[in-house]
Amino acid sequence: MRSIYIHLLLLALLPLTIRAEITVDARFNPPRIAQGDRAQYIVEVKETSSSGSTSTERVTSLPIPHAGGLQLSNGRTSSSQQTSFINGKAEYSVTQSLILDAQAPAEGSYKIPSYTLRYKGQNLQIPEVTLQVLPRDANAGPTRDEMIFLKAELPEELYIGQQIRFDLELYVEENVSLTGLNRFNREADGFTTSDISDDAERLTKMFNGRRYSVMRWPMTLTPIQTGAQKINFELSLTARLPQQNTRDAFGRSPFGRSIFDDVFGRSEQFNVYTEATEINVLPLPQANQPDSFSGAIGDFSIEVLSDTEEGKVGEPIMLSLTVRGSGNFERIDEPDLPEKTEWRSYDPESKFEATDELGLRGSKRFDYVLIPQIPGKLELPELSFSYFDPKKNQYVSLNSPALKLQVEQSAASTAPVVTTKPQGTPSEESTLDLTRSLSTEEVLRTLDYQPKEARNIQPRIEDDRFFMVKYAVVFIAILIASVFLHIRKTRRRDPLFAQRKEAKSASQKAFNLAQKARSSSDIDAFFKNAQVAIRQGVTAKTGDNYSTAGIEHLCEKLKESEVNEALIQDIEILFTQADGHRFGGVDTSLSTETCDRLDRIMKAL
Amino acid sequence: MKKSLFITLLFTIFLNLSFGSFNRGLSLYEDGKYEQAIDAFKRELIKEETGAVRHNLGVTYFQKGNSGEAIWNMERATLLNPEEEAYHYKLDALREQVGLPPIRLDWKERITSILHHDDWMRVFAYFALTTIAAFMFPIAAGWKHNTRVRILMAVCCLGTILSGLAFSHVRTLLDRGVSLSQTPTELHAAPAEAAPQTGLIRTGERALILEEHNDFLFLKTEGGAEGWLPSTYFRKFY
Repeated sequence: MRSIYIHLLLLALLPLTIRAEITVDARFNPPRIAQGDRAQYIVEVKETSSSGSTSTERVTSLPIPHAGGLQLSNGRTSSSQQTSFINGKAEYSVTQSLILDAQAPAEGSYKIPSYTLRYKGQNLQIPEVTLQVLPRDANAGPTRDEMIFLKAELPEELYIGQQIRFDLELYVEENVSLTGLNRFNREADGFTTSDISDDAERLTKMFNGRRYSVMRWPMTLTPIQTGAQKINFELSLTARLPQQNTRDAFGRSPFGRSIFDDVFGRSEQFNVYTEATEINVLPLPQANQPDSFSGAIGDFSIEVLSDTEEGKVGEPIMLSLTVRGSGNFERIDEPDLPEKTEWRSYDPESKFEATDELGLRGSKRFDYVLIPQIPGKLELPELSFSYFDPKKNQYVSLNSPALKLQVEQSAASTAPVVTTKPQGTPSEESTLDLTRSLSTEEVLRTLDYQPKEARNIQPRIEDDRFFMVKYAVVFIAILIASVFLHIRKTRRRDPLFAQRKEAKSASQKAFNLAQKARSSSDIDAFFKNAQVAIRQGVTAKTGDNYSTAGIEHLCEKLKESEVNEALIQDIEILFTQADGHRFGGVDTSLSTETCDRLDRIMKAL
Repeated sequence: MKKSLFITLLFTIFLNLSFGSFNRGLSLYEDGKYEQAIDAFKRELIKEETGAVRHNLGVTYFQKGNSGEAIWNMERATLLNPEEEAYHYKLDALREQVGLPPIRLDWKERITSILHHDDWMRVFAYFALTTIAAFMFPIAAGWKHNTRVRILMAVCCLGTILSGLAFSHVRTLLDRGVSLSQTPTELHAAPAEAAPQTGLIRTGERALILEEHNDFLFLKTEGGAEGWLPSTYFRKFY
């Protein structure tokens, strides 16, 4: 149990045994420069440990007591880590570097004194460092800052909210080869600025006797805070500069000057900055500020028009206000429409059309929808637009003219009114009015809670083959019926046809009677009707009237008609039997053969 | 027992899915969850399209600020249930919101709206076939052209002509729709975005399709403007 406590104690004390070694150093890089060049003041905080990498405490500022006459700017930090193995032992180190650009106003020696930096609870002593600034040789080449620099022409004073255009220009001396633009940054807390575009305008300029290729980016700037506001732009780029030994102000290398020194340059990545600028941002004057002012700053004019000169009650008309000119269009809101009982209005739609690439010039249109409520000669509501002119330092108010409109009474019915009535007798309704009409907006927000059966509106019939087939069948049936009717009409008008038809009918009738007589064994009736049936049958077949013809005539006609001989024989035999029974007193029985004979005859006829 | 429980559960779920979407849409709308209410109403459309569902979709889209969709759904509601006065009123109110005049049906539309497109086609077919029969049968059968026959022929002819005209008018209305874009959109002189502008179509404005080419439609708006519009900005009623 005791050993556990010892181990725990040792474990708790372990972090105390692991301490990183912290060292700090300061220097100028390079320690000697020519006048006009820049050097870097670098403070390095290094932590070294053999037991593993340590976490650094981020240093955000240096308590430099005074810069010794130097101009220090563009502070930044960087960090690096390193692991090394020495005699089999690993050593981990983390270096945090704080870098400031230093520029000297004149030649001489400049000192930044020693001071204390508090880091991880320790007081670290930053050593004193000295920068030697030597006179520039007349034959010395241009400094880096003279070869490549960033410039922005900015005004000294602006009004808050005033949007201006300025050009950010990167000057690149003709001997410098720009190989890449890496990053753009700005220090402009009191402003809003536009971003630089991917395409820059390229031109050539002479500046201080040197020829430069200039990349120009048009940008906008709008102050958002009053007072003195700093603004600075930074570009990180990669360029190939002509060979220069920056450690030797006389442009000589320790090994003597090479004939290639000015020909082959070195490619390096660095940052260029505009000169630190301060703009005095003024507040807008409160005196004489119009009520209709809503933040527009610039130079504007307005145009107001209506899409019609006459209208009807309840039918909307459009009133358009167009603001043209230059200024901060994005801050221009729709002017308020004064309320008038004879008009009902809605929030306007706006549309902006820029005439330049930055949107500083152009026109912004507001379309108001107005609905006249009463007929008559009405005046459209007047619109007021105010802006501040920074050049004149005064407010300008523009008012629309009073546009008149002739409104006729509409023939449309009024909207349905949704009413609620109280339950019970209405005897006291003179005191209480429980009927309330919903406004249009309230009606538009009301749902329908009861789905009702809807009619089928989707046209399907043209895709319905059954429909087409059905009506095609009907059409064909009509055609067939027409043909049938025509045939019937033709036949009816033919006397021969009528006779034949009548005979056929009479023949069938007589045959039926003969069959009846056969079943009732009435031989007289059988033979009588059989003869009538045969005569009428021949009449129907031949078309001639043989209703009273004798057997000779019948057979003669049948022979002419090229009827079967067997049929003629059957008819002769039947007629002989019939005549013999009826007129000869021959007692003839109704045999099956006789009946079959009659059947054969009638079938053939 | 387990089987019957499972079947009952399945049936209940099915019932909720099929009959609950409308009511769920109503409650979601009342809770202000418009996007979900739209989804619920759209699920109801799969089961059955009614004027109430389309109306409620229109109201919900209006709440969301999508005037184009609101007007299209309300137009559809008036077609599905033309007897509902409230739908017509709300359609006019929505149109008023975007600066369009209320809808005024001309006499042709009033008459043709009595019947549906398919019904007009049936009526026309009946009259046409009856006219054919009325002309052909007397001639074929040799019937005398007495007064009754003449009246029948006249009525059939007139019916065929009128129903044919009505059907033809209703047929053209199938190519009608509204603009869905949220802002007034340009009409072009040719089926290309870069073509010169010939007019403007407002949100929710009605137009008739006169021609189609690739992804463009040649429209004539109710305001009289004509021009080409990308088909994504337009939706027909049918």
